Amino acid sequence: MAEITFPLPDLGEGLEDAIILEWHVKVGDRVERNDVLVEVETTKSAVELPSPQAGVVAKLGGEEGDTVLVGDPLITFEVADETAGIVGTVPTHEASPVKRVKLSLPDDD
Amino acid sequence: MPSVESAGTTISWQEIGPADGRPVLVVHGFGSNRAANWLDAGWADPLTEAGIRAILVDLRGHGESGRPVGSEHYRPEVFLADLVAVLDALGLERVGYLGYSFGARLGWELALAHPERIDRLVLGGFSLESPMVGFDVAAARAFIAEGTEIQHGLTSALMRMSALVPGADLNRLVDVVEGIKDTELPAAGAGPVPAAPTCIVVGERDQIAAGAEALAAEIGAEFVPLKARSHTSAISARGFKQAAVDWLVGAN
Repeated sequence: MAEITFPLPDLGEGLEDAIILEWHVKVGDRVERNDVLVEVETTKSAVELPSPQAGVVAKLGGEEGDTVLVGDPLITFEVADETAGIVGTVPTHEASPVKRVKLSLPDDD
Repeated sequence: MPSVESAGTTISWQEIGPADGRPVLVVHGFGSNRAANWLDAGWADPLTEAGIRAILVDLRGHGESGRPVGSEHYRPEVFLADLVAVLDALGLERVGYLGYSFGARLGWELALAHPERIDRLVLGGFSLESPMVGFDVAAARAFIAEGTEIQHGLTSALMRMSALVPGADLNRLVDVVEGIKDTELPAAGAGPVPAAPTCIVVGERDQIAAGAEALAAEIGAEFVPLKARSHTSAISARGFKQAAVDWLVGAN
């Protein structure tokens, strides 16, 4: 087995970081591609991020309430060796982030 | 969409869930609507699966309800009359109530004004006092008319937030603010407390709802904090949905 780590993707709004609101998975969970991994909040919206990868969750990149920078590790999967050579990218094409909340009040920040 | 005439304005709502389910009036916040506040935030499944017949109202000036011109159409008592009109139109004597932000403020007042109609309250993003107090109406009008930058933080935030909601009519929303800020809903906790068992749900980063935890302790209400959530991101939290449906069906 090998590990593959995905960074927090650029959410396409010119934003540099996001707050982890709620993990939908925990270490040890088996997830399928496109399962919701986590809901994060940027200054513009709350977004659910789908999994780019099937595998077993090995490590989470932060606690709920933590701020994660774009490009920093978000989640690590344990995967079969033959898939480990793929360079990790969180999906932006096949599975777009789902916007759940489009509103934001700056005085909350 | 079903609707009823109330004080000369059409008030629309949408029902989801089993027709013979536990009836609950569900009321969105300022500048939002039934879709943006509830459906888009993933509430349909948890409500329906709990056996709740949810009546999702669009407040006047919002969503698909009427948008009369002038702040006199947006007094707090008119909003309350609208909600009663919806219950009457549906023949519902007594319901649960789920409200967010301004919708929660209205729920508190509705339960005080008509204690026989509301048997359980869930108040999300509940502010003790109206957050509209310092709203700069003139600056908001200038922003709409000419794009003039708004200096006042809350005014600017509310206008930018409202502008993001599809189909929002900003001038009508400023009418709403004018209507409710001049005849302030009384501060919660300073006066009478609803008889209905109450659950208050607030995001830990929600500054608008600061003080809600102390109020809950004072009045013996259930209090559910939502880790990491702000005033706007709280609405999609699974913890909010679970707490709300449990409270509304009386499972706790």
